Amino acid sequence: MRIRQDSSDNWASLARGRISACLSFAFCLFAFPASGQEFLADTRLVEARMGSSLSSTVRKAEQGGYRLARGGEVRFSDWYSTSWQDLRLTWITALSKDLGIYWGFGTGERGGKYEIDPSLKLGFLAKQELDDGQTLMFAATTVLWGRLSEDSCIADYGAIGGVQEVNCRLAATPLPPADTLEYLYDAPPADRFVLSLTYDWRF
Amino acid sequence: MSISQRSILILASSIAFGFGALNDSAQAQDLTFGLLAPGGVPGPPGGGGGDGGGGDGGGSLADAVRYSWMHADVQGAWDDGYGGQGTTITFVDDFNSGYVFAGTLTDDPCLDAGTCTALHHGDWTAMQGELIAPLANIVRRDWSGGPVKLKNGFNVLNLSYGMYAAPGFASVRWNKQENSILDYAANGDAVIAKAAGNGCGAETGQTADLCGSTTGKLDYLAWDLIGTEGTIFVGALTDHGSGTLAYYSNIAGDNTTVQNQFLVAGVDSSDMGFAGTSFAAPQVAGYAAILSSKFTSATPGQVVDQLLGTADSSFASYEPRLHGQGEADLSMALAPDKIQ
Repeated sequence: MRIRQDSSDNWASLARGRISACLSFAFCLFAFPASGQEFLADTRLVEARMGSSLSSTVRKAEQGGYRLARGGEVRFSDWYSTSWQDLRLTWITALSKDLGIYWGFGTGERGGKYEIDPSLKLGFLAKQELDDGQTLMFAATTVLWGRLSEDSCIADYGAIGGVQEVNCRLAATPLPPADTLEYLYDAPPADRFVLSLTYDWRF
Repeated sequence: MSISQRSILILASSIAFGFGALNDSAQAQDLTFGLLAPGGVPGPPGGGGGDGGGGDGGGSLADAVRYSWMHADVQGAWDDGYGGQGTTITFVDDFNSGYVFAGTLTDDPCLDAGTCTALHHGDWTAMQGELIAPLANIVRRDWSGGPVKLKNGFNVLNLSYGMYAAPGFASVRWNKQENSILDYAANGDAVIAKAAGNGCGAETGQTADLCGSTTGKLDYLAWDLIGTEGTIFVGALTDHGSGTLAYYSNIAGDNTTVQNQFLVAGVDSSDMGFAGTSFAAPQVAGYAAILSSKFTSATPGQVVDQLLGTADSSFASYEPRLHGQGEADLSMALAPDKIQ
């Protein structure tokens, strides 16, 4: 995650000498006057990342492979590699001195046997100034869509097992072929719901 | 005429005991059976018998340890939660005689040092099966009993012994034990992992005239198992992946029928503390159990075909006459033929 810091004295000072208690990620706020005309000026990019946690899951699956029973080889990279990883971009737009909204999207990604759907990120950040340079910030974000799903394979085990629908990655394990389907990737984004509470104390 | 002996397929000298019968035309022939054991002090012929020790199947993959004598593929099977559950491996072997010897299958210092009670041949082969397929039901069946009974579910029989006699008999009238085994093999009721024998390169099913106590004799059990649906003959390599036959191991030979039901498996005697095709067969028996855990509706014949059809023959020294179909390869046997 990229953190963009505003140059105003008020917010820039928060970045110095603070103690943070974060439930998720730390960030700095931007103090902008909220108006429709100044939307772009009030907006900052706070996240630009190629590859999500779901991408990382698939990258691990990309390693390895197995030999086929009658010769030949399966390489997982043929099914789980991609030329474009899920690009996540998130901005924050300040609506007031103490309130901002997060918004962004993910492009998703696709490989031979899997797909991460495009996603939309929404949320808000509220700030409350306390005494003596202390600040409390609360953020909540959600990611809509962006689910990882995996396609099955059709495996031919010959006389011993026939033709069966299987999990491509687990077809050569001792798992019964039908049981491998239970382990197909089917997961929401890891950051589907994130609540963050940050306490800053400037000293 | 007493002409036969039962022989554990391990390198050693022998002492005879037991009973049996060959039928040459209409005339019944008594057999004399032999027992071989290395390192042990020969004792009185054991009575043994009975229907065999009860199975347990009470092993745990959490406690399973892949010892150095095991193929690495076994660990992969355990990692996926499969250790032969739903399968019974019956070891027809010697569990009661006076012949015991020490080995190093586990890291148990007592066994390794040979300072504690040494084990029977059957205890060692069954231990191999139990260690490879810890979730399988292991049945210890002393070989001097009556018919071998199969259990519910998928059955594997491990035969790390031979029935030796002078060659020349046209047919054999077997006792109830071997008769039941041969029936299971012929009908495809069980996977039969049969140690190929330690004739120092003798052809399986032919007279072993090259070395050892079986010199000049024929393993009639192997002879009658040739061509049966459920049987795999197992020879020994010096180690997994070595491609080098152990000097004592019998070979598949020129008979293409035998070649088509012959595998080899690594027997690293430096790890195990003993040698012999006796200890190659239990590995294949364990593989069969693991394979049946995956293909739960597969018949024994299909498991046999899969193990034979997926053997590794890619090593430079491979010859069908020596290695049959090649080295047993569990990971290949578990894999599909094709996938898309």
